[in-house]
Amino acid sequence: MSPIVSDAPVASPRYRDLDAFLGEVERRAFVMAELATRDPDEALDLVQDAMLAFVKRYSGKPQAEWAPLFHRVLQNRIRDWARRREVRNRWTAWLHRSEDDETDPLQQAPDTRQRPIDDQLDGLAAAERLRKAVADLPLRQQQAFLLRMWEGLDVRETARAMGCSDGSVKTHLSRAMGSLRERLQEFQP
Amino acid sequence: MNDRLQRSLIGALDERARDLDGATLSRLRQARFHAIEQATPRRSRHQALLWSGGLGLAGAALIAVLLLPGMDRQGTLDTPAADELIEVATLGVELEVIEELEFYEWLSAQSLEDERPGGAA
Repeated sequence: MSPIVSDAPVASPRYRDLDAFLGEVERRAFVMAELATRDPDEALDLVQDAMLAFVKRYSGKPQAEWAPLFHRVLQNRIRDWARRREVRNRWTAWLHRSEDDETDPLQQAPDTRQRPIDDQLDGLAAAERLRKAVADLPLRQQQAFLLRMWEGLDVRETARAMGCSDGSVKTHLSRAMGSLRERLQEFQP
Repeated sequence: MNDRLQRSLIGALDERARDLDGATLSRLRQARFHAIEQATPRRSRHQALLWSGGLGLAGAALIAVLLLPGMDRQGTLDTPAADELIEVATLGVELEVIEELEFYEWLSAQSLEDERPGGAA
C-alpha cells in the first residue's frame, strides 16, 4: 500500500509569523511588480515565485531580516523578468524589421487621430499620473525609490535588496527624485 | 524632494495597494498559503501513524510489564494508578493531534475571513 501523504502542513508557530509577514508585504509587493511589468498577471506570478523562494531559503533567518531578504528575492525576480523581456523585444524587433520591408508604407504612418501621450495623461486621475511617473522610471531608479521611500527600508537594507552598494542606492534614488520632480511639477508648491 | 510631492506619490501608491480587486487579493492569498505550505515539512500520514502508534504501544507495554504486577489498580498518593501511567505513555500520539489541531484552527480562521462580505483580503 502506498503511503497517504497529508495535505496539511505540520503545525508550527513559525507559519503564523510567516503568514503575518507575507500578508503584511504582499499588496505592496504586488504593486511594485505591477509598476515594473505593467501587467497584473506577470506581477502576480513574480510575487508568487518570490514568496515561494523566500520561504524556502530564508524563513529560518531571524525575523528582523525578513523584509530586506524578501525584497531582495522579489527585486531579483523583477530584474530577471526585465532582462528576459529585453531579449524578447530585441528578437521581436529584429523579426518585425524583416517583415516590415514588405508592408504598405501607409500602414506605417502615425495615427493622427490618436492624442499625444501628454494629452492622454491630462485625462487620467492625479493618482494614476503619479503612479505612471513612478512606472516610467528606469528599473533601478524605480526599485531604489520604492524600497526607500515607500517600503521604508534604510540605505543599507535597500542596497542589500537591490544587490548593489550603498552609494549606488543613493545615486539611483537621487536620479529618481530628480526625474519625478521634473515630471510632476504640478504637484509641487 | 519636497514633502508635498513625496506625500502625493506615497498616497497614490498606498491607494493602489489598498484598492486591489478581490480576484487579485484572492490570488495573493493563495500564493501566500502555497508558500507557507511548502515551508512546513510534509509527512506521510501512514508513516506518522505507524511511528506514533508503535512508540505509544511500546511505551505502554514497557510500563505495564514493569509496574503492573506490584501495583494496586487504584494507586495511592505516592504511586499513580496504572491507567494514568499508560495515558502519559501514549501522550505522544495525542501531541500529534494537538499540533494538527493548531493548524486546522488557523486554517478555519482563514476560511471564515474569506467568507466575510468583501473579506477576500
